[in-house]
Amino acid sequence: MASTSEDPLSLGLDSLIDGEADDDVDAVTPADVLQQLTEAWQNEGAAPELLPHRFDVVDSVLSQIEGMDENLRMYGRNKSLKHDIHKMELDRIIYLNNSYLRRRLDKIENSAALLLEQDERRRRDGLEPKMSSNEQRYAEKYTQLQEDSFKRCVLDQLPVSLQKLELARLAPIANTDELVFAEALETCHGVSVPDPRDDGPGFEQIVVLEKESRTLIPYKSVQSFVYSGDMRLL
Amino acid sequence: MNALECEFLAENVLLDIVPNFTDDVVHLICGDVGPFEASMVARVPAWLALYLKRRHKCRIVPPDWLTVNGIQEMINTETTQEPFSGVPAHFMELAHLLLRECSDDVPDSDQLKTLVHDMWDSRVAKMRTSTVKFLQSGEQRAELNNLTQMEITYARTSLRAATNHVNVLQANARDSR
Repeated sequence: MASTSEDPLSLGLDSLIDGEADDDVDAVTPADVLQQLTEAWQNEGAAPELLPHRFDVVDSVLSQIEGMDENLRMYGRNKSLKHDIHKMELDRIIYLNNSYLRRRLDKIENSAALLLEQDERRRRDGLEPKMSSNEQRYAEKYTQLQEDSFKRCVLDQLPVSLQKLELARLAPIANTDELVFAEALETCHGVSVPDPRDDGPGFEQIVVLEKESRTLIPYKSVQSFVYSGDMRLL
Repeated sequence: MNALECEFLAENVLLDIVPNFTDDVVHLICGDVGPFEASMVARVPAWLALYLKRRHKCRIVPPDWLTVNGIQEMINTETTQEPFSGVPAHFMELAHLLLRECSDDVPDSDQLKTLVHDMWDSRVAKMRTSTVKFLQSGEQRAELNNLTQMEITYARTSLRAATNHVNVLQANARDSR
């Protein structure tokens, strides 16, 4: 797996060997890109938080779709079996793509203000934001609308001292203690899991997850491995 | 993830078909398929196999584990050993798809339906007992090798709710100490 995420967390050995993500996009086959999108879709469905966006993958899948769509329109006058097969595959990929975007939008709508704040902090720390620029614009608009609506319906009728509104404080915080099902794509060393035998937080066991093994594990234990693409969620 | 999305994933698994038409290679985004030659076995993704089947363009060759003997053997291993046995990826989804969409291509399909159901039941029962054990242990991690996507999807909602509850209770117990 190439250095798929631009998140600095993932800039480990992989990226030194494989080069920057942008460089090897051309080297991967369309099937690989599709596989990556499927994985991103699955991860997004299983992770309790919004994952760093994979619009590098989405964009290259979209350009595949457009190319294929154009071909179909050009040769598509005669309704051959081949044409229908291509059309069917196209429909499947469009579904996958849309579903991926929707899963992200659902999460963004759930805590738009909080995510904007977190991305702002990530930028300040020199990290890649989790939302793409389009998603960010969407979140901003959504927050604005939410705010306007709250004001119009309730807050404007309250005494001034009660009018303070902090949407980011109201948003649900992703529960990273939640257990997820993860599969190691590479052998992962140094996965720390809270130790149940010790009381209180801060006590951890370090485990190794062998390649292809599947575990039920707290999300925060595997978070960085999911970011780097060494693990996937099921 | 829900059951339909599991099925969507399972439809990417490659299956053998026997086409009744002749055509050259089709360059799909997920890889090339064909060339197709009438009555020569070809390997295609399940979604394509089912699509061709619906258009009466092929016969699907069921995977070799989808036989009465195959499933019976799987049930035997499943019930005699403690850990989950290794089953083909997406076995439940594929069995379900094939028995639903092309039961005429699968020999003994009625008997198979019952057997696949039995297989599912024995795995789900095992999952229930190990879930209870897991929750009682208070562990934060469990090895789940050999669980399939469908089983994970099936277990997720209740397991997630239960562990979140346990976590809250444990945190409360710590705080009150």
